[in-house]
Amino acid sequence: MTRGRGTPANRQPRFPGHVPGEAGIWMFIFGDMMMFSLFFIVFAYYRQQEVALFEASRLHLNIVFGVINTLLMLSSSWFVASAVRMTRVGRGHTASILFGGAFMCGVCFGVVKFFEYGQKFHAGITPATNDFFMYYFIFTGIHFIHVLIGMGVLAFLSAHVRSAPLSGTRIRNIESGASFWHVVDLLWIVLFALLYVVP
Amino acid sequence: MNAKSQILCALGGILCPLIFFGGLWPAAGFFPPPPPLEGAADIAAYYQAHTNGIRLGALLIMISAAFYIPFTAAIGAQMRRIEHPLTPVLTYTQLGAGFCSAWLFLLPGLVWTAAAFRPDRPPDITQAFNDFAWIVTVMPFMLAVTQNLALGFTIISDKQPEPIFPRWVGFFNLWVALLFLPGGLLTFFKAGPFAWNGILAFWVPACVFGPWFFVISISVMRAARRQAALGV
Amino acid sequence: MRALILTRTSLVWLILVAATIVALRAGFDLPADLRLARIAVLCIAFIKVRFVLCEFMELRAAPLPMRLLVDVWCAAVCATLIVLFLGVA
Repeated sequence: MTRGRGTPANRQPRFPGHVPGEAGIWMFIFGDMMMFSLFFIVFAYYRQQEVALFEASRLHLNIVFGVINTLLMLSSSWFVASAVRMTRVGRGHTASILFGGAFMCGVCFGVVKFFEYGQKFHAGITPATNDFFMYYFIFTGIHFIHVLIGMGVLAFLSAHVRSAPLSGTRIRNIESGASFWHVVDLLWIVLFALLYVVP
Repeated sequence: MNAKSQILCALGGILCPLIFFGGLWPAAGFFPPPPPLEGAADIAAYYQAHTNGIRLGALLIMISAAFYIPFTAAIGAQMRRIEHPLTPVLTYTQLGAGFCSAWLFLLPGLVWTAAAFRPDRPPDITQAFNDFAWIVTVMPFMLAVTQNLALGFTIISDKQPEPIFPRWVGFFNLWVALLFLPGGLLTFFKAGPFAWNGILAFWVPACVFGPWFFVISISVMRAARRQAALGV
Repeated sequence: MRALILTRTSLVWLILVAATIVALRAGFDLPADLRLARIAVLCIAFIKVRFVLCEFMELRAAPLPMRLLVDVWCAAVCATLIVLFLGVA
């Protein structure tokens, strides 16, 4: 773990290693992953009871939109990871643009979501249609709230990474924000597999 | 030095959940929550069979509300030290949300009291009161979310060399806020994970809210003790 | 520009995209063995997750307990989901 503020400099950590960002954000990240893990398991559990219904409903999902969103998420993580690297070598201006790129991926994700949900509503499919669509809308909805929060974080990072030189604390905060965004990507990877792909 | 009164107020955060739960389960038998799909006749029968238990439980639940108020005040007292010398607007937000939240313990107690007041009335009426009490208990997530976000953000923004709260407590509050979100969905469901007895609308928030009380209460007491030691 | 494109980050991105394509083929090309397809898609998803955790989130360099925790979580959730999706439990 990165050393806390009060750790004496001459004490070797028992398990050497470095984690980006601060301990608190990792607690939040693990907590968030636990919550979504529960979502995943609840979905899989209730699916067992209505497999045919879930299968039939799954085929109504627009796989093209799903794939586009997955590519957007993966690409946004590339932008963020590259931005953090640039931050560490002091290229704040490049990093700012890269965070902006990730933000734009988020915007596109939102646009695709808008059309995707819109297409469903147009076809008369709502969260009340059946259990599969209840989970689909609620879990992708909660994930989208995470995307929006993440976009706020990215906008903040993009603005703040420009002011050089960056202190250790500043870099740590940027790493924390970046880690949060990667979790948003990670959760989508699983959601996409569970809802759209698993036959 | 008023560390003692701060600590006493913070103790409210330990007593409130204990008394609330004592009222909910041993007294009234409302844990786990009755399913929303339960018929009016069955609910009325339960109220008739457990009338005095429910009355006592409701009374205890109401009493627990009183402890939430000094608890909120104690949290606010430490938050104000973080925001000082700026205008403590997040402190005010937490105070407001916390004081409003005391009603979330008071109102269910009152409604359950009304439900158990005349157990021989038509079952539909008893069921309606029961619905009301459970909805007030499980659904108002936005108050808790507001309180947690205010506290969480304030703790994280503490830039002093010796932070008043450990940083992880701030992130803990943000996480708890997140976990409360599904509670609002119970309005659409009478069964499944998002119903008022469902795993995502009830169990997850409930299992997190309990520890939250203890974590915050102990953190506030520690902060008050440190404040007294520093003489500020 | 080169410093951005020819990097480990880009390689990881390519692997993730490739894994996505493989998973899509497993899920959509009328797989003969349904159970195998389900296992494949879920495993690929969690391999992708582990790549994001280890590479993008830099847990490769994390202390051992944290890496173990993360690996255990990935394996446990993946296994649970496989069991539930196969209808075994």
